[in-house]
Amino acid sequence: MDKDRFEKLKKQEVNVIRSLLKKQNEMLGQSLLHLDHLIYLQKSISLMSLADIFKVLAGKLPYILFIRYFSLFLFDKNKKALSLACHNHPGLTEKIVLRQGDSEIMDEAIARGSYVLESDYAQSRFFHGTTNSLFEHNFFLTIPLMIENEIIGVLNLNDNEKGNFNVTDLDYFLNVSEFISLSISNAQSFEKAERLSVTDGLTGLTNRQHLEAALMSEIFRSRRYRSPLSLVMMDVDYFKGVNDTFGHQEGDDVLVSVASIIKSLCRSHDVAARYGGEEFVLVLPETNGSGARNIAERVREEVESHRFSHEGKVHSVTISCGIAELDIEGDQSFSDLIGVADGALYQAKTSGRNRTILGGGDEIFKGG
Amino acid sequence: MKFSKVDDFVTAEGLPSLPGQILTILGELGRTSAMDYTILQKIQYDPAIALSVLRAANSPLYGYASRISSLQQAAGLLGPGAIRNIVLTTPILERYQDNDGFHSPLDHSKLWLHMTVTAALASGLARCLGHSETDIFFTAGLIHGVGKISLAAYRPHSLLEGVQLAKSEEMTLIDIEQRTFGFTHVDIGVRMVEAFGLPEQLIGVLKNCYSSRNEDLLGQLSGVVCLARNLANSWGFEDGIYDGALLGRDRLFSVLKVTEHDLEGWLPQLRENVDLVVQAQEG
Repeated sequence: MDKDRFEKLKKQEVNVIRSLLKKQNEMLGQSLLHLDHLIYLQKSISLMSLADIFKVLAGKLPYILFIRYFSLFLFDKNKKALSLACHNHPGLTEKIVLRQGDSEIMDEAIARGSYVLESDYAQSRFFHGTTNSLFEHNFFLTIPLMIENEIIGVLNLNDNEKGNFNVTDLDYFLNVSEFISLSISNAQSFEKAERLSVTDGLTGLTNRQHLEAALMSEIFRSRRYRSPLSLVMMDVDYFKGVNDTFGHQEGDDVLVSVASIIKSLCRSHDVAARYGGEEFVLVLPETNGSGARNIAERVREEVESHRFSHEGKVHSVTISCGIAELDIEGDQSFSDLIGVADGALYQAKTSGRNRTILGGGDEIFKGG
Repeated sequence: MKFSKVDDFVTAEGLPSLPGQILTILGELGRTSAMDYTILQKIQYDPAIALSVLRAANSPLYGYASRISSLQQAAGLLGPGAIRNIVLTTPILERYQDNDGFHSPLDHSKLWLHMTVTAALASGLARCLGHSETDIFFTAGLIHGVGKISLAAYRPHSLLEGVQLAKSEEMTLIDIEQRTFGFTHVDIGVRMVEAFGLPEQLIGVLKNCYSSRNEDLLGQLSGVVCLARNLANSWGFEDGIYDGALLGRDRLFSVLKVTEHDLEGWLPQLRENVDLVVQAQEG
């Protein structure tokens, strides 16, 4: 090879290497930027509360993904419903719950378990005559949020400065969606565990352990603000007979139904708990004995009128209630208050059942 | 002196590839999603990148249960995203960096083409012989000369001197290398694939392909790659680096238990395989 030929080849290769270095520089630069954003996102959404995660996403996701608009829906596989969890669409304030068939795009992403990317929405099969006036560009991307092949939500991305999504953007979005899925799933698991730790597994009411904490806190609050506080203890009458006659499954169903009645008659700040076996406790803040009596009576009457059906046989149950009102001037403890309500309940039982007795007094309220 | 010991060639960054080759693959990658598994088609014509992919797949980082012998399997396990990063960080081979007036007659493109043609022929021969894992034969054919590539990349002057001596003294290149450097391109290749954790069967191919002394150790995989190399050379796809170590067909036919007649029957299909590879390389 002569010198001229060598110089020519060398020059050619220098040009190729220059192009290659530019390309590598561009791709590596973009990768680093994406990595930087990904790490920042991961740090920002390593939270245990879903609400906190959604708050962060609403503020930061558009900047992290270089997009203008996004919406994130959580998927309830039992109800086959999508509920809007967070977004940055201006003016959108209402709670949105979509059923199967309401959003073809998201339905498709869920059914396929993979993203749906349309470069021109108006030309896509999902277009039915309306476009969002917010969007300058007509493309969209819908990514299912998945954990171990289970879909937990859907992320919709729209619009950006460039006017399109390329394959590098797409890969980045898919990586980001995995981080988001993981954070949401972790927070959901944490919140579920937290909920289960204070909830009775059968009835969904507050469990006995948490009742103690809740009642102590209410006693403290009641004394501090000098507001009344009452407690109702309820017990299903002849519950053993229900188990013996209809079996334990029906017994459980009765407990679930009674709990459901109690919950339905509770106010938002009341605490309804399963105290053990067939015993329930209702903590009623801002309520004196008389008010508690009214609520207990409503529950008692509702339970009495409820008809249970088991293998074609209809039956009913009744409950007895004992009420205790906190003496805000005194020094009653949690167990003192429970003791008074328990004593009243015992009195209701021994005096014929299906009645309400206010502890510390002689008032008896009998239904039927 | 740098690259004076076999271990010097086992670099952290891996084997360099031709700039034009990397540029073409990167261009393709820019148009391909990391979710697209057709990425394999884009990397299968580059022995340097193939070696890096196999190295990654056999690394403790991924910790797969068994050693990975095929580029196809490695690509499937690693996923397109990891492969994209491997391509992106492949070192560039600068062929004309000398300013001292040394005019290298080494044709690296020819070397690369020889590896891919050998791979295509090895895969085709394996299919004709009834082997099911043709992807392993392809991979073995593609990387059989990584020692030569490494020497050509890092010590081109020494390699050329060795070639000249081998020709003038009518010796094999590895004998000259052994005498001159104390190690051979085969040692380099074997050391590399051992260090990268590649499976024994691929190491065996590298050991056997350039060494007539290892004839007795030839197995099916090595035999097929050696025959593929033999065919590639006879069809004008030599690697451009004389080594004097091409095993005779008779010996290979006996190892593979085939005849010249069998091979003649397979030639049209094999030629088709090679044409496809050459078109892809040139296209």
